[in-house]
Amino acid sequence: MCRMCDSLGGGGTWYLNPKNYSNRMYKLREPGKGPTTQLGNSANAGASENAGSAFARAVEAKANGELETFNGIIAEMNKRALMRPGAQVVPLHEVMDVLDMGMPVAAMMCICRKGTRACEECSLSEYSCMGLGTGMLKWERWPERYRGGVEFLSTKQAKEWVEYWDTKGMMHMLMQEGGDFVGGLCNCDYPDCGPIRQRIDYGLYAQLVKGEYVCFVDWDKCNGCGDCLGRCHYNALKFEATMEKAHIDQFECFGCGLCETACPRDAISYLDRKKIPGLAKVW
Amino acid sequence: MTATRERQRVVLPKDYTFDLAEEMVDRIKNEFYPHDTVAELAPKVAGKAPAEARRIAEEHFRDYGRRWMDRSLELGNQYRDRAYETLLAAAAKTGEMAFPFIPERFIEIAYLSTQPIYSLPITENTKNAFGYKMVFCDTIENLREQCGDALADQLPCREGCLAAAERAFTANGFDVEVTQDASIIDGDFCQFSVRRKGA
Repeated sequence: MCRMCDSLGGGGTWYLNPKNYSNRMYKLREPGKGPTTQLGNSANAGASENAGSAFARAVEAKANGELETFNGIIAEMNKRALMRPGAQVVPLHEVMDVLDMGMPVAAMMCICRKGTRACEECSLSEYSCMGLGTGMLKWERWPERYRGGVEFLSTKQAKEWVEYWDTKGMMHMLMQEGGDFVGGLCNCDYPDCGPIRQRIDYGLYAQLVKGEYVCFVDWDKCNGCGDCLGRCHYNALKFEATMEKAHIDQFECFGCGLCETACPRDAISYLDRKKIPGLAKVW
Repeated sequence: MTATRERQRVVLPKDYTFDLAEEMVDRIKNEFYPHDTVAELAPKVAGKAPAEARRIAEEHFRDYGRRWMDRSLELGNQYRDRAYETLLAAAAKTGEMAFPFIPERFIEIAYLSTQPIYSLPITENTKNAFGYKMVFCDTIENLREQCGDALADQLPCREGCLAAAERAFTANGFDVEVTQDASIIDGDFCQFSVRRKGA
């Protein structure tokens, strides 16, 4: 799809490459430069600021009915972000593999949900985002971002916590923090999640890239119980009334696997997106 | 959840220091400056046969590496910062994370204090492995200038890096194997890997 696979994957899926979770703990201050004041590395922080500003202009243009301006801004943002997507959808079983790598993981408040609901998550039972890597050791440096605190988790605790959110119907995505470093694991839903909304509502494709897989229903196993219905955030899953079976539109599927983890009959499985000619370039 | 409750739980900024103490960096730099250790080595290898010069240099750097890391461990524990305190607390709470992050801190302190870099590129830090690379190395440059290309091309200074990395982990209770994966003589940088034995 992009350099995430081409250069960061190391021959495989980029987010399963331990190198992409490796990060230093310290940086000496270069002469004449002040302390870091933004999240992520400086290059990414600058890019995010530009993207945020452009997005604000796009929202304003849309609100004013200036469709041509809106489309132009979105097209430019997509072009710029193509080489460095913001996040990718990841199914639960691969989240478990990521957590096995053993970097610092800390549960924390979802900043998207804070924005959409104007409320903060203040304890482990409320947190729905997870920070990854050595950057979390300095979380107190950004008290406004981490209002409500953070809670460091063991690998076992982290897995149980993500499984909990999966059962609650939250899909998982890994956030790239710039510098080719995976810095966050989010448990998200529509319409709270910023990247999902940016992708679905505004057409910012690189803000949330589809997963490596698409889901597939084995109609011989599906008994039409409907447990998977309502789990899909992307309108890819429907109930075929004429067959009384679940059906997935693979062009719409993001490969989050929420339908798979809900199916009591193992009727839903994953297909490798890259191996399906019609979907290999649908990200 | 009420707004009042949230407000009460806001984490307030404190006078925490998250960076390495400049005084500590200066102290280690003054004691283990690559130019000075190579200057100590130069008369020892002058006029020696190549194999003997290499043996002497490797032993010199092994000793240097151990002392360099011992001092980094000592001063690193004396000059604590908030990131380290958070790491210690998180490691105690989770029962994980001590490997590789506690030794990593001291390795970063050692290199950042003595080499012309602002950050140490980390190639891996997972629960069983740690790796880093050195792109701009003053030691090899000084070795080339003060002892000549013939000795520098043998890269005896690798023994210093290997010894220091091993010391950082063993001093923190980890049984590890340290290897060199890439050499600045053959490419653009040296790279070292640390793996837990039995993992």
